[in-house]
Amino acid sequence: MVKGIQMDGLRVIGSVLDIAKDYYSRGIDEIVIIDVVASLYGRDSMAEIIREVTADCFVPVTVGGGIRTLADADILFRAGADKVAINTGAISDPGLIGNIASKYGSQAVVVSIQAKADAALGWECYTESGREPTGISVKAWVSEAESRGAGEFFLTSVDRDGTKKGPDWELVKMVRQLTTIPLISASGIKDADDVARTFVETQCEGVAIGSALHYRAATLEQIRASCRNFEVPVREAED
Amino acid sequence: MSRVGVLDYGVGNIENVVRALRAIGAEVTVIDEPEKLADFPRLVVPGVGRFDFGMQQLETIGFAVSLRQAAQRGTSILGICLGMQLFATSSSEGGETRGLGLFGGDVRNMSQSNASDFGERLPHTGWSPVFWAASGDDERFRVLRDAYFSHSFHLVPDSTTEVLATVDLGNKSFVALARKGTVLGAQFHPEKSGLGGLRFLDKWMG
Repeated sequence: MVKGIQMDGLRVIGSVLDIAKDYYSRGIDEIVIIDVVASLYGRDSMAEIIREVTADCFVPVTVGGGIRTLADADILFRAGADKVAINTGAISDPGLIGNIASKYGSQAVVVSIQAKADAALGWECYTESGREPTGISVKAWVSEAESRGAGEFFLTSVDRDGTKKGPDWELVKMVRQLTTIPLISASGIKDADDVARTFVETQCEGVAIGSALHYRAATLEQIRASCRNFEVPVREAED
Repeated sequence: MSRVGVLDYGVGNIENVVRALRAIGAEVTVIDEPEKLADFPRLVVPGVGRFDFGMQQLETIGFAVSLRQAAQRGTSILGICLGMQLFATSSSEGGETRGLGLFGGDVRNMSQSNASDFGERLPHTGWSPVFWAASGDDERFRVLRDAYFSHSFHLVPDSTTEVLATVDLGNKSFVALARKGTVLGAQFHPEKSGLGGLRFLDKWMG
């Protein structure tokens, strides 16, 4: 598993399978695996990783990174992915969203948005793991992606990703106002309270946690305790 | 542990259901021909996707007839998500479409139940607590507290079909688990509901 800090300077933090099994055994709700350098593993070895993870982890698994065509998605679904996350592939061919949704259902299509503040556009969509500006505003893209059949948004702030500076609640709140489908806030969590407060502040449907968990700034037990404290409904760990 | 057949009718990803059943020690066979249904004491109908397409696939392959026959023989059948909804008499998804009729009741869009003050976003995606019906005579399935859901349509059962569990969403309550005779239908995904989901499958396998 490779963890990006501000989507650059990638660090290898361990085997995807070991980390997924560890989180699963401690009651993680869902697993998101993003191959940030799509060429790093190659499609076949990514499929093999998904096969291994889904053989042992019986929670939903979302897979993203380098999905450009329906055939790319087919390989990952066949390997066991429940949902695919697409960003660059969807921006360069918005029809891809509908193509995957028609075959697997909208609930299987997660549109990943990498947003960066921009003076002219407000928030601008970035592609290629936050490296390439698109000139497309987040506002316009959210509405287009939803109308084409996206089932969920996975929202990353390029400026906050992996920084543990706390999520950008203004960005999350803005996107939540723009859409009627579930929204996952996916960057900047620094500690357990940040997770609970993100739910309270933004009303988003999910929070994805990367660095904070991987580098042990927060444990799942602490996150659950904090959510209960803030009266955010949270699943109890199974025995 | 006995044998179970999982129907492959070309709708969504069935592999994860197979893996979950294998994880609890079941001897699983993927079935793609209707003649083979009769060989199994237990059958699972998985599936994600649209009702009209799913039903069309069941009819074309010939599963619709053989599933009705299996239910009449008293085969234990478990439907998951779309698989469960296909048991209904009909659905409005993709235009009014006739279902298998193993359950009494119809499948309806959740947003039509009370769009104005529904209070939740659709699709209903994620983990939700499951509420077990107090009147249920069958308590063996009460082995999971929370389950993973992913759907925009729901079963509205008639009196012939027993509701074993419900799920709350916004200000509404929807069917999570229903039964008629030996046919059981789960709106949630036990294969994606962690250890509780595996325990549920284990209880169903007996």
